[in-house]
Order: sequence, then structure tokens, then C-alpha cells
Amino acid sequence: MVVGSALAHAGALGLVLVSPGVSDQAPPRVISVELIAPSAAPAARKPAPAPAPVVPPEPAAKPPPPKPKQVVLPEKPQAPKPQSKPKPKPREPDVFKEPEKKQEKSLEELLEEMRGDAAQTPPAPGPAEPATAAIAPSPGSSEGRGALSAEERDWQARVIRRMKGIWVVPPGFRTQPLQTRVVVKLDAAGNILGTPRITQRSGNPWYDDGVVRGLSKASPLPPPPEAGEWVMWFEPGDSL
Amino acid sequence: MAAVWFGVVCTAALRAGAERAPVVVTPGGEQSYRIAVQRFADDSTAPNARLIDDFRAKVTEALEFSNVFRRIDDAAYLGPLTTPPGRDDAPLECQNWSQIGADALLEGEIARRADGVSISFRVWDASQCRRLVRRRYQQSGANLDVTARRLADDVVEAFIGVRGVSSTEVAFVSDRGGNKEIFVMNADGSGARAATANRSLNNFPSWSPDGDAILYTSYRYLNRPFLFLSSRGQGRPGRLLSRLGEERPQYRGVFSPDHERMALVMSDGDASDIYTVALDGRNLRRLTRGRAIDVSPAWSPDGKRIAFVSDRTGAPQIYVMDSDGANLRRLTYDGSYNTNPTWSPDGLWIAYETRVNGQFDVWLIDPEAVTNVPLVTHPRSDEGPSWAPNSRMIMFSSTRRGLADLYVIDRDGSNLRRITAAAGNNTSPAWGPYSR
Repeated sequence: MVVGSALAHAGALGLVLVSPGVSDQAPPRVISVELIAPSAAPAARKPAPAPAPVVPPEPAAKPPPPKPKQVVLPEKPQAPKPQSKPKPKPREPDVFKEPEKKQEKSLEELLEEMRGDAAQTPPAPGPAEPATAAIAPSPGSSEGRGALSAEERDWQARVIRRMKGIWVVPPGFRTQPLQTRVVVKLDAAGNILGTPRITQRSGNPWYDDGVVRGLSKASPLPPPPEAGEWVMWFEPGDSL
Repeated sequence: MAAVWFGVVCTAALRAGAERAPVVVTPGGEQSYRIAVQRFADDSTAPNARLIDDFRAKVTEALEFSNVFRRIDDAAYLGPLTTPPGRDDAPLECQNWSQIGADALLEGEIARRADGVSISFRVWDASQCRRLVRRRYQQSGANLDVTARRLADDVVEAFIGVRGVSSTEVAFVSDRGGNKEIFVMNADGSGARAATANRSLNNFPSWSPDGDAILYTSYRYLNRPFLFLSSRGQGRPGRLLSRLGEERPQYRGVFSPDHERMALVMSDGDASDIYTVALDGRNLRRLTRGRAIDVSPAWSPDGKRIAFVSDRTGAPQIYVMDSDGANLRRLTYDGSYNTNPTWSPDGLWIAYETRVNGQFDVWLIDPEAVTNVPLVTHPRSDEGPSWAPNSRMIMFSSTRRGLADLYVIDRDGSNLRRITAAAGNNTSPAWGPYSR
């Protein structure tokens, strides 16, 4: 009886998983990309481990999923719970939620353990890239790069302020050790002349692209102390 | 003469630029690109304006779900609201879009015919006036919802190199009908529907790597936990591993990334251990031993390692071992109660829950245990983390509103949003893979 019921359910399962919401009107399963054209993209756009950006066409041989069966969950007042219903409610092997009590430690023990743990663990400010990732480039410290005049310092501060308000950095990039170095050619009014030249790529072409995009939108920058080429580094750094 | 003078000035400037300290820019608060989504031109034999508007709304919602884009209000448009017919390969008047602050423009056409629907679209970088993507979908059915989300996910990829996840699905457990059943919904919370309706107790949903089936634990047979499959593909739904008999309860099965075998937990008295087994129940291999409780196996994305939970030292902690049981090592030392590890698809992180003051927070630790940081901390419990297939978001359940709801958060801890709004408790999310 139980087995029979289980089998009956099993039969229904394959059907109900298919979403009524999606398959009400013939699901658009067969979606084929006929053309992909990263045509205007620069040569550098393709990343080394390029994920195939294509939704591969589904094999024609694949049978369409069966029409979903309407799943009707029993109304509360309707039909008393069947006898086969687990009674009492079976204990879930829910990780450690259940055996929690038997393992509960005394407050002193816990405190002691926490103290021990705290001593081993440096405080963590927020999610950073794990050490398995590439080592972050050195922060753009200005020390040792030639002293800045007060005027230059002031200009840099204004450029940084402007870029911060315009440069879009999606969340996924903010915790990565990326750095893009760019030379921009500015006229006296701060207009960026030509396309900013990337002198060091970050390794992520989309991040580099975002930097150039941000600069394009930010032009004109605040008028520089003098017209000419200026070096800019863009890094997520300690932006968290 | 003038040219020589110009050259001297340039050289001087270049030298000056090279010697000066660089301007070091770190991100400000701008996290999302501003996108103009045009109404697609209707090339159908029988045009339908409402359908075009619906499609646009769905694409826009899916783009915003990514957090990579936010829409530009129609009122700001200088260019046409609807893609002009016959644009296809034509250059774009980018100024219309860059002037309103658009980073991106999406334009396209929809053609509904008797034999299906064809959707063409282009994605432009408006500030650099560059076309990033030009693509066409063909579908046999009339429903454009899934296509709208897939299209949005492609647009996300064009801008950040990682596909969006609005077209993926999440399995979860809900007691909204009175019993704990497995449900499936779109990643944004829409389209929730039951995948089981056996009125027993069902838990721990886990997707097959191809996204065609859900493996879950159910008490529907003999009132004890065994593994079952709910399938929409070729896999036969129903109970799995019957070859292993009924003596030892089986639970929390997870498919290996190569879909050749699964890891699961089997109990023997008070102890439980991690096993791997081929999908047909052959080649059972016991990976852990002893009288400890070893549960919650989670494969690394390359299938070479398994993270799990063990109380062998007296309290539950996260451990990692090779998928044959070798090279066991303890991963977590912070906190006295750590459970529910789940490996990010990019392999960089393991999310898990840790008990703090009697409730749970979600933390991230890297597999070498160098970095261990909080992701979600709240006075109420946050549990059961599950990674989006692009490793950029994490879904988890939280009781912060009383009953348990599912929430999604970016990996860096930003953009927390509630996903479920139905009655009952919604827990144990399992984020599915990319659809094919």
C-alpha cells in the first residue's frame, strides 16, 4: 500500500516539476542563437577562459517535457490527514539542528572556546578575495612616485571625486584584485583627447572596458595643472 | 617648426606624466549601469502592442534583478522609445543615448509567425558608441517569459563578462500547504510551483548538473528518509538507490559535478557517515568512519573534493576531504557550531552557517581557510546558503520577518533582497544551474 502510494507519487513527480507558469503556453525551450557578433568589440575583449556566451540549441531529438499536471494541494479543512502520514512527525536528519541539545556546551565552555578562536583569528573587515586568487596589485601609493605640488594634489582629489560619481563598478568586481592603468591625454580644459590608452590591463577585459567607459562619461575632467598626459590607476582596492 | 615645438611640448608632458604620482581611483557608490531598453519593433503578421510592452517589462525586471543595470525612465529618452523598423545593421545615433547618461542601449525586433517567434536584439555601449552583442533567438512556443530572462542574462554578460542568472531556477522547501514539500521558482521568486505533493516530509533539494532533475530526501517511503528524484528530463522520477536496501536511512544526496555519482549520508545507529555511490546504487564507497555524526556533503565544482560537517571534535565543524576520503582536514576553527557548507561554482568560496548567540549567520571561508568573513549577520537566523551559478549571488533563508523567507544577497554583502512572499516557511534553497 505504502509502496503503491510511493510509486503513484513518483509517477506524478516528473510531471509536476515542469512549471505550470512556464509551460502553460508551449514553453520556449527551443531557443537557438543563430548569430553572435561581438563584431565591434576590440581584439582584447575576449578573455582567456572565454565562457561560451551562446545558449546552445537543444538537441532536436530531445522529447518535449510532458504537460504539467495540475498540482492541487489539499485545502486545510479538506480530507483529514491520511493514516500513512508520519506520526509523530519524523525527525529530520537536519544537519545538527536536532542533536544540538545533546552537544550544547556550558556557557563557560563556549566562552572559553570563543576566546581561543578569537586569539587565532584576525578580525576580518568584509569579504575579500581569498588568497587562492591572484595577489592584488600593490596599492597606488603616491609615495616614491615624485612629489605632488599642492595644486596637483588638489586636482587629483577633484578628479577622484568626479570619477567616483561616474565610474560604474558592479558588485562582482569590487572584491577582486584588479587594477587597470591608463594614460589619458588632457587639454587645458580637462577634455580627454582621443581614447584613453591602457598601459596595464587588469586581466579582466570587462573591468578594463568599464574603466574606459567611465572615463568617456567623465570627460571633461577638472582642468589639469597643465595639459598633457596623466597617469590614472583604477582599482577596487579598499572600496568596501 | 611648429611641429618640432609641438613635439617638444608633448615629450615634456609625457615625461612629466610618467614621473608624477598616478591618480588612484577607487570605486564610489555607482554599482549599476544605466540602460535604456527600447520597445522592440513588432515585425509580426499581427502586431500586438501589449505583448511588446510585456516583453520589455520582463526584460527590464530581469536586468534589474542582476544589480548590474538600472533602467532609465522613458521620460528621459531623446531617442525613440520603440526600435525603428529595419534598423538591424545600421549605426546608432549614440549621442541621443549618451546625453541622457545611458551606459547601455538595448534594441531589437520581435516577429511572431505561425511557426514560432523570432527575437533579434543588439546591445550597445552608448558612451563609446560600440555594439557589443548582436543576436537572434528562435522559439517554437509563444510564451516569451523565459526568452526575456535569457536575453537579459546575455546583456549582463556583455557588460561584465559573467552571464546573469534571472533565467535560472531555485528549488526550495516550503510548508505553505501544511507539509514540507519541494517547490521550484524562478530565481527572482516568480513562478513558484510545487515539485512534490506527497504530504510527507521532503527536504534537502539538490539539482542535477544538467538542471533536469532534483534529488531530495523524503520520508514518504517507510516513514524514514530515502532519496528521491523529481525529473523533467530523461531521468526516471521516484526512489533512488533501492539497491542499497532499507536498513540504513539515506539522506542529503548531492550529485557529483560530472553527474556520474552522488554523495550522500547514511546513518548507522547514532552515527552517520558520508558515502559516494554511482547513480544506479553500485560502487558504494564509505568516505568517513567512526562514531561521529558526519553530514552535509558538498562537492567542489571540479568534483575532486567534498566539504562536509562533522562533530568528531565534540561540536559541528566544516571539514574538507578528497572525493575518495583521503586528505581530510578541518576547515573551520572560528565559532563552536558551523554547518551547511556549500561550494561556490567558481571554487573560490565555501559558504556556511555559523551559530552566534543561539541563531545562525552566513559566513564565507575559502577552501584553504585563509580568509573567513561574515556575509550575513542579523539577530534572527540566516541559514542554508546556496550559490547562484555565476557565483555572484547567494540565496539563503532568514527568519527576520518571523516566518522563514528566502533572500538573495550579492557575494560582497550588498543588495540584500527578499525573494519569497508566500505564506509559510520557505527554506533550504538550492540554486539550479544555467539552463541549456
